[in-house]
Order: sequence, then C-alpha cells, then structure tokens
Amino acid sequence: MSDESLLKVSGLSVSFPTGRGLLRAVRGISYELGPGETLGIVGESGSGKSVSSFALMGLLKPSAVIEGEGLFEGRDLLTMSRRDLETIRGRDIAMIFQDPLSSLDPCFTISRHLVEALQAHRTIPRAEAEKEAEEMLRAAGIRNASQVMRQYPFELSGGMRQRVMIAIALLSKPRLLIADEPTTALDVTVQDQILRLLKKLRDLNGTSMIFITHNFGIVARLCDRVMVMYGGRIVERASVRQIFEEPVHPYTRALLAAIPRMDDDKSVPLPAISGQPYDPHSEDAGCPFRERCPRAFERCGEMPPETAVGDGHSAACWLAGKEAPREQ
Amino acid sequence: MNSENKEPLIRGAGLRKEFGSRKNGRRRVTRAVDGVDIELMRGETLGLVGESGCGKSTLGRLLIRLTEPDDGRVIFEGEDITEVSMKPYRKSLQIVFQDPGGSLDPRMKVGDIVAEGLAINGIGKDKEERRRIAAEQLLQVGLGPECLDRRPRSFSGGQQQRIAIARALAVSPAFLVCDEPVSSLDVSYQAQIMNLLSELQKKLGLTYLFISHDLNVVRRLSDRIAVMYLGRIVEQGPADDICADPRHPYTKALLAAVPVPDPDAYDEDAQEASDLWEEAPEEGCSFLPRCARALERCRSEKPGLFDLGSGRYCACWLYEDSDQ
Ligand SMILES: Nc1ncnc2c1ncn2[C@@H]1O[C@H](COP(=O)(O)OP(=O)(O)OP(=O)(O)O)[C@@H](O)[C@H]1O
Ligand SMILES: Nc1ncnc2c1ncn2[C@@H]1O[C@H](COP(=O)(O)OP(=O)(O)OP(=O)(O)O)[C@@H](O)[C@H]1O
Ligand SMILES: [Mg+2]
Ligand SMILES: [Mg+2]
Repeated sequence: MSDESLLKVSGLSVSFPTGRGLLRAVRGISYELGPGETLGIVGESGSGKSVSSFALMGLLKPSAVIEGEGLFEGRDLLTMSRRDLETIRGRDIAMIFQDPLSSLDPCFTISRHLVEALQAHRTIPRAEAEKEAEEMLRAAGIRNASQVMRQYPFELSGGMRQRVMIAIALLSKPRLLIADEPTTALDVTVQDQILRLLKKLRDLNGTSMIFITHNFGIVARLCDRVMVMYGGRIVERASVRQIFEEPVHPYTRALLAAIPRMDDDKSVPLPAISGQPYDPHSEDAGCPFRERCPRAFERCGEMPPETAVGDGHSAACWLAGKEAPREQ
Repeated sequence: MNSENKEPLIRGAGLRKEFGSRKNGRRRVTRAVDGVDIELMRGETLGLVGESGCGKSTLGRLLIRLTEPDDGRVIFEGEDITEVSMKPYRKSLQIVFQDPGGSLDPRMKVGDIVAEGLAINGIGKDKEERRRIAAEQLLQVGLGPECLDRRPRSFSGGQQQRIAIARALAVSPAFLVCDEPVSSLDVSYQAQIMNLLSELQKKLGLTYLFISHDLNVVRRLSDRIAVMYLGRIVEQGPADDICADPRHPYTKALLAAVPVPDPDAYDEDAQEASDLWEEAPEEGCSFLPRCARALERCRSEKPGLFDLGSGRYCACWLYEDSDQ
C-alpha cells in the first residue's frame, strides 16, 4: 500500500504560539492517500481539518510550529525548498478554498487568471492558453465561456466564481486536489453540478481528492474513505460504508445522530453533543473526547491507540473491538 | 397565517434594490431584490432559500435597514421605519452575517466584541458586568472563558460564526436575520445552535428570518419557507408542505438535489443533471432557461405570485388556474 500512495502523512503536528501558551491544533496525525482515491475529512469545527491541509501546502504563517512528514510521491512537502513547493503547488497539487472571491484578484479578468495559472507551470503560447482555458471553463459547466473569459470576478455570481476557481484548480490536471468546503456557499442545484464535474474529472484524470466537509450527504456521494477528527486527532477512519453503517467511536456516533434529515420529527430536538468543546491548549494526555463521552471510564485518562475493528476500519477508543459494533 | 387579526412584527412592501457597477465604461445593473413583499409574524421563523446571488442577504439587510431600498417600505411593529433614524431600533433588529470572518474586528478581543454591542445598547451597568454577560453568551454557543482574550483570526471558521451569534443574541433582539448561521459548523454545533435558536424563540418570542442553502436545516427550523430566484419570491408556504410537495420547478429542482447522508441513496444516472444557464432572459420568466416545463407564455410574460390557498403561493404560469 505504501508503495502506491500518492500522499503519505506521518505524525503531523501543528501548534501556534499564543498568549496562553501553545495552541495545539493538530496532534500527530498520519494517513495515506492512493492515486484516484477520494478521502473525506469530517469532524468537529476547530479540530484541525483546515490547518492540517494548510500545513502541507505551506500556507501557514511562519510562527506556526510544524512537525512530522508529508511525503508527496516520496518527497517531503514540509522540508523541501519554498521554490520546489511552489512548483508542486498549482501543478501537482491544487486547492479550492471555501471563499472564491478572496482568492480571485478583482482587477484581473477571468481570462487572465486562467492563462496565468496555465503559464505558471508550462511554456505555452498565449492564444493556445486562452483556448485551453476557455475549454476548461466549459468543462466546469459555464456555457457562455467566451463571454465569461472577458469578465471580472465581481461581475459573476457566487456559483460562477466557485466554478471559475474549480477550473483554475483543474487546469494543471493536478494529481491531488484538496477541497475545503468548496460547495458550502452554493445552492444545492449548483452543488450537484459541481460534484458531478469533480467526479467526472476524477474518473478521467485519476485525480486523488481530499474533501473537507461538514456535509455527510456529500461524503456519502463522493468519498471512498473517511477520517473523523476531534481535538486535533484522527479518532476514526473507515470506508464510507463502514462509517455510516458501523460507526465505532462514540464521537462519530454522536456526530451521525446530529444530522438533520428530511423525514425527522421537527418537534424532537436534534441530539447535540453536550459538554464543553475540547480546549486546543490542553496538555491532557487522555482521550480528547472523554469529558463529553457517555461511555468514558477510568482508562480513558490514557490516550487509546487506534484499534482495528475491520478491514481498513479503526478507531482510537478503548472500547473499539470490545463490543458489537452496532447497538442502540 | 391569519394576517387580518394579527399585526406582523415586521413587513417589507414592494422592496427593490439595484446595484450598479461601471467597468470599462459599461454600466451593468443587478436587480438584487426586484419587488418583494414579505411579512413575519411575532415568534415566527421564515426560512429563505434560493440560488446563490438571488438576493437573499440583500433582502435580509433591507428588512433591518442595513441597506437602503431604492423603493418600498419597511414596517416594524406597525410603524413605518423606512426613513427614520435607526438608533432606537438597532437593538431590536439584529443580524448574524454570512461571512463571520469579515464581520468581526480582527484587532478586538472576542470578549470585547460581544461586550461592545452591550455597551452601545446600554445593557449591563459596568464593564465587569458586561464582560460577565459576554462570557455567558459565549458559553451558550459552546465557547469557554479561555476565548475571551483571544482575537477572531485565531479561531476556526465555525468558531468565528459562533462568536457572531453570541454577539447578536447578547442584546436580546426582537427580530434576528440569520444569514447562513450554521453552514460553516459541524452537525453537532449546527444542532446545538438550532436548538438554542428554537429555545430562545420559545422563551423570548423572537422572530427569525433564517437564510440557508441546507433545506434539511431550513425545514426543521422554519414555520414557513420562501424560495427566491433572481430577486423575486417564486414560492412561499408552510415549511412541511413546501418540502413534501414543492410546486415551482425551481423548488422541485432544489429538493431533488439535496444530498442524502446514505451511501446507497444516490444514483447518479437516475438523477437528471440540473441544467444551468447563466443569463436570465430580459423578458418572461427568469427561470425559463432552466425550466423543463416551460409554456409559450413563459417566454413573454413574468408570472405573478398566484395564491394557491392554504397559505401557499407560487409564481409560475402552470398554476394560473389554481389562483384564488
Ligand atoms: N493562525 C492561527 N493562529 C492560532 N490558532 C489558529 C490559527 N488558525 C487556526 N487556529 C486554531 O487551530 C484550531 C484548528 O483550526 P482549523 O481551522 O483547522 O479548524 P477546522 O477543523 O478546519 O474547523 P472548521 O470546521 O470550523 O473550519 C482551532 O482551535 C483554531 O482556533
Ligand atoms: N454591494 C454590492 N455591490 C454590487 N453588487 C452587489 C452588492 N451586494 C450584492 N450585490 C449583487 O446583488 C445580487 C444579490 O446578492 P446577495 O448577496 O443578496 O445574494 P444571496 O442570495 O445572499 O447569495 P449567496 O447565497 O451567494 O449569499 C448578486 O448578484 C450580487 O452580486
Ligand atoms: Mg476549516
Ligand atoms: Mg448571501
């Protein structure tokens, strides 16, 4: 497996020095991603999902303390030179951010954004680049592409801007696409169209994807595997089917129970997880979820190792594998 | 909704807002809100859904006069507040902004951000008391006392959203525009905030305009739902009825595209890709280019909002005959 992996992250930790000491945002996470595979990252807001990806992409401020290894095709993203990283970023790895407006320059036409993205990593004549750019816009579901090429970001609706960002990210045919809540701001009909496009490109180019989202509907539809994060750690990892059908970690179960569904009884409040969120400054050595866990016991004062409970399925919980995976 | 013997808490009548921009000598006009009538009863939640860029945030801002209308009136508690000074009303009319990062002053500490709203509106007798109230409000949205002295930038997206919610709720408003308040939160915080909003509504009789793209969330919280498309309300009615039996072709498309949290539920081939055409025609129904059921008439005339009975309204020529 490790020979085949495109991305191999080991022991990644990220801390920020703050007035109250170190804020430990990511606490030693490891994972692998194979070619053509789509990995979903879900978990608590503030659990380190974005920060762990930003760290790999070299997008954190210099004061951030980063440890561990992030091998992309065998080369460590965390120690390579700025220049090498910049070459990889945009050519081999692309990222789509949640807010497309902040990543587009208001003074440049859409055409210029796309052409520059193309020319940054390839010597290609302008006219040819424009042609290729326009084709990518069309592939991204923009029909009046030739007109949009001449427009400025503010002249486009949110959904169109997001598709422009996706076109830019895909122009270089990246090996890895990291998407951080790319469709949260879009209505579901536009979201549907973008998810179709991503699927199509994945099938066509064999792109691997990391999809950070709070939307379990998107996870179910798009992802092969899922990691659940809590308090800077990965508390469960599984195939998409295992996560929905046999969740093991009490946090995962609690999270799944809180999803609103069309056929819910509105008069019954959704079961939110009670108790205090995990303090990112905590130096506690135990399970990060134990204060809020309905099944915590003495041993949880010690951090449980990840325990395998099935094929490719593991959970960092002392109870993992010690009970029937499904009860209720 | 029986509006004859009950006065709405807030009402917008014939609201219009255009945004003009000039680039390369060309003038382009966006009709962000194009003649909208809307009313909210005291203690009610009206869910507002629609395409991105259709004018939801602008409508919310018009109702609490953060944006001035080009045309139309805003009536709050029976009083026309379209042109009055907002100072005495600001405390009652609050908003949680869509983009929490942009609405929180990065130089201020989180505790001060929440306390500032209290001070402006004369709540709390001194700084200490305001800080105590701020801490309580933050705790209510799941942020502990260790957050008081940190600055917004050092919080995750979801945490910033909760700070914005705490700030809005701290001054006990009568009407709150919730502009996608939970879209950046994990489902547990989402549930917590939804439960909190419902609880406060029951306890204090708050009225919400709840804007969101997540129809599961909107259905759960709303008494009624209004669906917007390009500046206009195209469908409106009781939340459960709209979700169970959508009438407007756009509402149908929206409900069909809601992702279901079940790996077996999705069958790509069975679903028709929603057809998006970027330019709406100058004439006729704005939804025409995406509509599979268009009639000849839809090309030339915009449909009005037909009254379908039982509190349901729909702006589509297919329902002309049902108009009451
Ligand atoms: N620049 C920063 N300085 C200090 N702390 C930070 C910084 N950026 C993020 N953090 C902290 O790191 C932790 C992880 O943040 P991150 O943005 O990765 O969360 P997330 O899992 O992406 O959450 P969300 O789902 O809300 O986006 C949070 O506690 C956050 O407050
Ligand atoms: N200050 C402004 N200047 C120019 N155009 C604006 C301004 N504010 C909004 N618009 C335009 O008005 C239209 C409606 O915008 P609005 O933000 O109300 O949409 P929305 O329905 O809230 O969309 P979203 O779901 O993406 O938040 C859009 O076309 C937008 O580009
Ligand atoms: Mg994030
Ligand atoms: Mg908006």
